[in-house]
Amino acid sequence: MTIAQAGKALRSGRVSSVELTRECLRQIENLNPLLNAFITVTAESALAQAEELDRELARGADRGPLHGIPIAHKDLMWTKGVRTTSGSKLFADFVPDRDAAVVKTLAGAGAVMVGKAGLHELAYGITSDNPHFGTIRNPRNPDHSPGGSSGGSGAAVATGMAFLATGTDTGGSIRVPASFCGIAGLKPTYGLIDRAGVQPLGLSLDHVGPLARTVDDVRLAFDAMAPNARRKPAPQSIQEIRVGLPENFYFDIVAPEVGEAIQKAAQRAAGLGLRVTPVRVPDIDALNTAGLVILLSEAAAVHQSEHHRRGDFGTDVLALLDQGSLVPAADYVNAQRLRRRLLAEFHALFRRIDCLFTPTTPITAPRIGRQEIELNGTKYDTRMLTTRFVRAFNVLGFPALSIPCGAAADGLPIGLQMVARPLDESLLLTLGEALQGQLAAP
Amino acid sequence: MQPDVAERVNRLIDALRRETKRLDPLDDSALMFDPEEDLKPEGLTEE
Repeated sequence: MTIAQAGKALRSGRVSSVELTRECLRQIENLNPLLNAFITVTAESALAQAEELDRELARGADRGPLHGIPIAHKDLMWTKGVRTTSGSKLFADFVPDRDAAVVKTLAGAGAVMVGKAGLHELAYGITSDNPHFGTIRNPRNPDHSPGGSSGGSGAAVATGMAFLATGTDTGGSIRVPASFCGIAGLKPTYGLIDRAGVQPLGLSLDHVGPLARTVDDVRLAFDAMAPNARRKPAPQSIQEIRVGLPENFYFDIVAPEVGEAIQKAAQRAAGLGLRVTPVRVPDIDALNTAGLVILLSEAAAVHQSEHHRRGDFGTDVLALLDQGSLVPAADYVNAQRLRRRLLAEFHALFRRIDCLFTPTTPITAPRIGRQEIELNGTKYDTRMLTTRFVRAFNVLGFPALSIPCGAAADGLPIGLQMVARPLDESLLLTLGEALQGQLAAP
Repeated sequence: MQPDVAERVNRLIDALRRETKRLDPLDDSALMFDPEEDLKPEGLTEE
């Protein structure tokens, strides 16, 4: 059931928010022992909140499309009175005294929080293999990773434990789990959704956004999360949209099934009347390098005061914090200068196109614990390979939407990443809605 | 500290320095990413 369908059923009296919430809680009870999508389940408060929202609706007070809809928050969004761990031993007992801005906004829109979704430790990684709160598993195949860092959000939404979940994306952390779990995820334009009360990682790279089962649901979630944000209007017709299909970089190192699925998606888009043209993209390797230097430095700065508690970090996160503490300030500054130069090059590209199509990830979800992936005879570091296509758009701050785009032979989902100009989320969502039915469901 | 930490940083910094050679040393424009300026819609139509 989509959010729009649930909303209709709620307003016609065919279902109540309490029943929707109970159904999500039942899914959590059945599946969480296997998938470990939640760190904290707030069943009691969720049911109380749902009861109140049912009463409101009965007396004609309607808060909008999310009224009475059960959702999950990534466990680095501050929630008043509810433990917020950030997936870290450092914050294992931290109970905030206020809500994050986005938590408050969604509660005001009538969403019912069923719990706090698990994540990669401190959102600093893409496996969601968490040494403190356990490994989160992919609902399509529990031996595989759900991606990360918003891995719990992805697994929860994909299995109906929640209708939507919040996520954060510093180097792909919404889009990678969306791709690996076969759902949709939006990283909006940098700064569009308020980050107040969200545990930071990379201060100039962090984005907040939604994950949901369909693009329509992502739109409803995004509208509620950024109610007053500046946005460009949607295109009058999707035939106006000029799609760029990269000739370089994005199809160089990619699993054949993934590459083929994206090429087919471009053909489907052309079939809908969109103008699809080959383009050469600016230097993504340079953007990825600059992005890594910026992230290492900013994360080391954010966690500088806790860095001495070495035993409280997992091995991978500690190694990244150690690396960040060794980056010279001059190189951080030059990475930021390079970023601005490449931004200008991307703005120039987006004068010729409205949207760029790429695979979200070069591979489908890897097996849990795999440190290296072999692709076309070459071995790659799993983290570097998985973030290869997504990180650049954190550096640029451009909006990017990942939608399901079929599946590999083993049934694991493939994701299509669509990127647009700043504040052009409406274009991405309109295009995603048109395309999602055209792309084979995983 | 894990043995390969310094080596990884050095590799990354070497890669960055190869890329930053392209920066104009006389470029005195704003140093840092500025979302208000770099992501404003008006900027997209300026040639």
